[in-house]
Amino acid sequence: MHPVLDSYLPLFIYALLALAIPASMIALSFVLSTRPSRRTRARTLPFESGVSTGPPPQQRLSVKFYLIAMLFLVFDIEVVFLYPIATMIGDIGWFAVAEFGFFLAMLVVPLVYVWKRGALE
Amino acid sequence: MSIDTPAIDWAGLSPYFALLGGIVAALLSSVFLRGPARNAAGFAIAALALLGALAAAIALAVVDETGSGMIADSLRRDRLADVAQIVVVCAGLLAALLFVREPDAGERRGDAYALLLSAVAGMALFVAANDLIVLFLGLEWFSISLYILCAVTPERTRSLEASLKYLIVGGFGSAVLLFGAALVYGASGKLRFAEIGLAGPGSDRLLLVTGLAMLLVGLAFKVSAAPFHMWTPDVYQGAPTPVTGFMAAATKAAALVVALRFLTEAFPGEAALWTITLAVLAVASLAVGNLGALVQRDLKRLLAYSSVSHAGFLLMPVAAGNALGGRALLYYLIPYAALSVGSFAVVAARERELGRAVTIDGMTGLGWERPVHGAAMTTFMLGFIGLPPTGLFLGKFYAFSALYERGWTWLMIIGAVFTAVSVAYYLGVVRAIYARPVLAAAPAGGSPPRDTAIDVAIVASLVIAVGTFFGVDPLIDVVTRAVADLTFPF
Repeated sequence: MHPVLDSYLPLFIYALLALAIPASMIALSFVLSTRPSRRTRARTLPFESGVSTGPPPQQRLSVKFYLIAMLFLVFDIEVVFLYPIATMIGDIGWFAVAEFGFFLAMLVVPLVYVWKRGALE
Repeated sequence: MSIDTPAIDWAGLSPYFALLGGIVAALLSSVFLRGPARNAAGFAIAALALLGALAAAIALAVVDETGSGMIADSLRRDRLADVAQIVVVCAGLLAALLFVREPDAGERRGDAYALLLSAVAGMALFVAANDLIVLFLGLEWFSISLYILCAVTPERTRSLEASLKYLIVGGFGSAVLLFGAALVYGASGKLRFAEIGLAGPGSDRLLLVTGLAMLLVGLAFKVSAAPFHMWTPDVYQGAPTPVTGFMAAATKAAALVVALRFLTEAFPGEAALWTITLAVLAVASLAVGNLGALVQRDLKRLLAYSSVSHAGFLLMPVAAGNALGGRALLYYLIPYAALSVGSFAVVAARERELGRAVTIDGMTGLGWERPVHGAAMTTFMLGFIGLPPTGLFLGKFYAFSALYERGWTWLMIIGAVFTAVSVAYYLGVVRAIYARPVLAAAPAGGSPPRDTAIDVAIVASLVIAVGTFFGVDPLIDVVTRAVADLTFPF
C-alpha cells in the first residue's frame, strides 16, 4: 500500500466512526420511536434532551462580558510567561530583569489603552 | 547554569523598532489626547515613525552588500527586503497623508494611524520572511490590521460590509496558505525556504506540489489575482479611500516580493510548474480585470478591476522565472504603487468635495475646476495604460523583455492585447476629467476647505511616478542589486 494512504488509514476509520455514531442516533430515533401518533403539546416542543423548555431567559448578557473575557485571556496568557522567568532570575541576572521590565511595559500599554477606551467599565 | 544572551542585530531590526514604537505612541496618544490635538499628534507620530523606518530601510539598502539572516535565520536582511520595505513604507506615508482629513474617521483617527503603522510593520516583516512560520505570521499581522482599517469608518455600512467581506475571504485565503505551508513542511521536513529548496521533493512529490499550489492560492488572494479576486471590487469600493489606496499599492507589492523570494528559493525544482501556473493566473487576471473594468461606473470599482488587471501584469515577470523578470517586478512595483496611491488620493479629494461616491461622471470637469488634480489623474490614467512619461511604460517594457527572454511570446501578445483593451476605460476617465462641467452638478455649500495633505500626497505620487521614468538608470541599478542574491531557475 502507498505509505501516505497507509498512515491516513486510522484517520479514515476514525472519521467513519465519527460519522456513524450521530448518523445511527438519528436513524435509530426514527426506527425505535414510540411517540403517540396524535399531536400532543409536548410533541410540538423542540427536543432538549428530556429537559422541558421553559420560557426564554429574561435578562440579556451584555456583549461587554465577552470583551472582558477575551481581554482576560490575552493578559492571562501573557502573564504565564512570568513564571518561568521567576524561577530562572538568579541565573540570568539583570538581562532578565531588563527584558521583563520591557515585556511588562508592553503589557501595560494595551491595558492603559483598553482602560481609557472604557472596555472595562 | 547560565543562559547565553542572543546576539541581536539592532541595525537590521531598526525599521521594525521605528514602526512598533510608533504604534505604541499612536495608541496612547489616541486615548490621552482630545480633539484636534489628537488628530495632529496621530499624524505626527505616524509620519515620524514611517520616516524613521524609511530612513532605516534606505540606510540598510545602502550597507547591505550581502544578505544575512536575523533572529535565528527566520528573517532575511538583504536588499530585496530593504527595497520592498521602502516601497511599503512610502505607500504608508502617502496613505497617512490621505487620513488627515478623512471625514468619516472622526473619533477613530488615532487608532487608524496605529493600525496603518501596524499594517506597514506586518508587511515589513512579511517581505523579510525567510521561513514558513514568519511568512504566515507576517501575512496575518498585516491582514488583520487591514481588516480593521477597512471598518475604521463604521458610520458607513459599506465600510463595515467591506471589512466583513475582506475578513471572511481573507481568512479563507490565509487558511489555504497555512494548510499549504503544513503540507510543504510535511513533505520536506523543513521550514526555511532555502532548506526546502535543498531538501527537494523527498519521497512524496505529490504532497509538496499540493502544498505549493495551496501556498500560491493563498498569495494570489492577497495579490488579488483572478480567479481569487472576487473580494477586490467590493472591498476597494467599500473601504475608506485612504485604506484602499494603501491596500492597492502595498499589499500587492509585499505579496509579490514574497512570492518571488519564496518561489525561487524554496521551489527551484518545481520551477516549470509554478512558472506556467503563474502565467495562467496572469492571463486570467488580465482578462477579468480589463473586461470587468470596461463596464464599471463607480471610479473606485474601476480602479479595483484595474488593480486586478495589474496583478496580471505584475505576475508576468515572476512567471518568466528569470533574473530579468525579478528586476522587472521590482522596478514595475515602484511606479505602480505611486500610481495606485495617487489615483485613489484624487478620488478621495473628489469624494470629499462632492460628499458622495465618485463615479466616472462625478469626475466631469475636474480638469477645469482643479487643474492640478485633473492633470495628475490624467497622468495616472495614462501611466496605468503604460504610456510615458511614467515609469510604468518602462516597467511594462521590462516585463515584456523578461517574457521574451523566456521565449513566451504568446504571453507578451496577450499582455499587449489587454493593454489595448485597457485604453478604453482609462481614457474614459480622462475624457470625463476634461469634459465641460454641467453647472448644475456643482456641489452645494461651496468648496470644502483646502486639503493640503492630500495635495502633497497627489503631487508626491506624481513625482514618484514620473521620476521613475526619468530616473530609470539608478533605479535599475538598485533593483538589479536587490535581486542579485536570488538564484533564478530560467
